[in-house]
Amino acid sequence: MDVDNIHDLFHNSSYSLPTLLDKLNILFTLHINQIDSFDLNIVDYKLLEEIKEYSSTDGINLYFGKTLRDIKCVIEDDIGRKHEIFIYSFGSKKLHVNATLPCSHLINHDYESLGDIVRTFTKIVSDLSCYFHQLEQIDQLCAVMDPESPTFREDYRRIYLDDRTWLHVEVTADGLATNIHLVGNTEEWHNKLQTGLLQWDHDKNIVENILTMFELPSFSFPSAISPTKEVDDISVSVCRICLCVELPGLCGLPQPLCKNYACGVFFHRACLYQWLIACAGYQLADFGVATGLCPNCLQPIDCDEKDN
Amino acid sequence: MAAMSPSERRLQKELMSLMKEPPPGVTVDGDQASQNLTLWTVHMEGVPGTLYEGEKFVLQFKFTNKYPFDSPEVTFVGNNIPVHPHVYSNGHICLSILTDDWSPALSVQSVCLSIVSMLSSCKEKKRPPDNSFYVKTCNKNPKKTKWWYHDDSV
Repeated sequence: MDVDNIHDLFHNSSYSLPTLLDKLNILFTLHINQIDSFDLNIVDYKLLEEIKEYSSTDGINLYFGKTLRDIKCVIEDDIGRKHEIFIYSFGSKKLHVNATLPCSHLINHDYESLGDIVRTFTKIVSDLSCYFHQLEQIDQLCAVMDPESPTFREDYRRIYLDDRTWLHVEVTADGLATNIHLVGNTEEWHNKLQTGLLQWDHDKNIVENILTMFELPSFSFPSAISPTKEVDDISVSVCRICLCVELPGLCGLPQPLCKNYACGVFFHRACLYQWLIACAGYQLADFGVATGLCPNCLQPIDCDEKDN
Repeated sequence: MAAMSPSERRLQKELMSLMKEPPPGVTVDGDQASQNLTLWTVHMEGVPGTLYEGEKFVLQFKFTNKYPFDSPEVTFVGNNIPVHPHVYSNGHICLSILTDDWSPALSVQSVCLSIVSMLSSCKEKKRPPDNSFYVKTCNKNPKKTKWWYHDDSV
């Protein structure tokens, strides 16, 4: 049997399995010395070539994961932050990407080649330099209440001001603050926010602006959370309705939604909304804002269906 | 094990905290409740120094899958139903937080405490005035009763 025929062995389905095994056996025992190498199209040579090419590029490191299809690409940015891009190859010209970056449209998207991915993400990483810097500062200096474990994927931060009030800030790709508002606002913070927003200086860091706006010397931390974020007692932030912190299937952590300063309980927006519309006889709320009484202190409360 | 529904998760947490730190005189049958999270049996002792001192009562809690948006169905069961102006001889309890004034911020523990305090503040052991009529005509589920709460003093 000829070595060239090995292709036919695999690509011709006319053999039954025992026949195939027999033929392979004969091939290997009799012709073992003649077989140098053969191509079964199992290996994606193009991808391997690309990996070889990019692993010698500066600022880019490539690693294999559990299989040859799992590749990790580490892109270093201008100040040496390492951004990990996880790539999975579904076969030739079909690469899937996952990364803790804010650009979901680029992540849930298939790429044709490793080169595409490296070019796209090197550009993003360099474009987002200000964005990374601002978020990093917030995460270092403030008590971030939400997201629970902040990464660069989330473009917002909810910063602890006091037990009843958080500040919501979103960061644009250029590193500017947007959609700044209070969660569980009380009048005192609200007034400062109103006047402070007018004097917001986009040339300064977000953290500095927040400190100036609220006339704070530094950020305070909730008693249960030390700056190192070792949370022992999470009961402070449990939703009073479902008694949980995380709600399966719904994003968002419990928030101080009741504006009564004496109340001090937290709710998931979805739990509170569900209760308020249940009290109203399951009628849809006007403009998506349900109103009623706080389940805890029975003071008037309202709840937006969506988290703005 | 299948994923727990939000109501089961909440009941599980309540059960754990009630077993760990029960209010005085209150014990929950943890084995039974963990077998079936929607049906709990709670044992309650009359508070010393009140009319119910030395008595033992059994409460039954039934939960729907809408709990805590839906209030629990709470009744006294067993041989000893407390003789009290708000407790019918079939075990039904006339207590506003069990129906109209229910809130999801309440819990099994707070319901137990309300019932303990309702019993403890009683000055005369007697059945509600409409007891015999009510017991004959009522639905098995006390939540189907349109209660009107005559007084808040007991």
